Amino acid sequence: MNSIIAYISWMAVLVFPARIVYSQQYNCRTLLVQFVSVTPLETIKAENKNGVLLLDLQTGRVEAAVLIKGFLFRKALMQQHFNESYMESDKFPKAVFSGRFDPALVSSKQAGEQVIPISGTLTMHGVSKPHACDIILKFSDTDCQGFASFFIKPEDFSIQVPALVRDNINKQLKVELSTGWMKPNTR
Amino acid sequence: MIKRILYGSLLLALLLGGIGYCFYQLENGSIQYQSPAYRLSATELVAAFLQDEQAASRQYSGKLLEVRGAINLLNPENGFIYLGAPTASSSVSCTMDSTQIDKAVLLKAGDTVTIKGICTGFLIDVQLNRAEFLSK
Repeated sequence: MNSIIAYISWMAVLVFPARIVYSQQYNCRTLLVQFVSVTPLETIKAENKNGVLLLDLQTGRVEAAVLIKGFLFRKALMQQHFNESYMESDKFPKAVFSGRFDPALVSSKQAGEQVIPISGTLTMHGVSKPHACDIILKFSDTDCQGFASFFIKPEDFSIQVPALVRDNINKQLKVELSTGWMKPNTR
Repeated sequence: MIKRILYGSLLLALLLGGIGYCFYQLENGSIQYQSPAYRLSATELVAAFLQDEQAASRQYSGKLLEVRGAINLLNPENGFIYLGAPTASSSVSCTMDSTQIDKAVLLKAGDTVTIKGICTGFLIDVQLNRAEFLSK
């Protein structure tokens, strides 16, 4: 009797596919984006916890976006200057990255960190520039976690820093992105 | 007389410099006692951005809003609460101030809350930053 039940169970698994099918697409609505500038005069840090990221392991597509007004600074006046004078966030409200990677380099079944080179276009302050960096992916079961870190130069994006505070801001800002664990989209 | 003017000018310069320095060091304070620019429901706010994102950004972005709605998703430990219809593709995403986490952990999906926060714009959701609860 037990063998018949086991046989029927196995047949059910083989014949009827699972109702939930996980895609190779992940999205994150709480992408943490941080940047830091360190100079002998001042350390400036800001973070935004509300970035969005779309990662498609099948096609190798990566899209990320963040609202400029969502960056929080410790100092209120610094935040105001960042939005009004430097980033002109009313005029250019978003920073967007659109890029690609080689899907053959990613294996969702492989444990540990996988460093994947990505390249694409970074658009902010109304300027689009080619941008390349590495993204570190970690998989656990079906979930995925992503990190990235790179440097940007404000002058590359026509961001004018007044002479009075030029020594307070590093010429290169370190940007870090982190997703937390993402579940695959279901279809 | 010249000495007095010199000392007076020096004192004034120090005073102005001190005020400027203190003003520069001011941190982002609580929005608790600030009056909202607009009071509206989560569905009204999302509809405004879906209908005309640019017009809604001009009207609401950077402003303090008071938004009422049902919670459709929450991650209280990380301070995220989403307001709006459960099946909607876009919600109002509230990033709660760290002082509000103890209140957020008591909530569950379906609860109706009123939240005050600064609208930063729209990506997939309308985003409210530095958000605080007004009532459950």
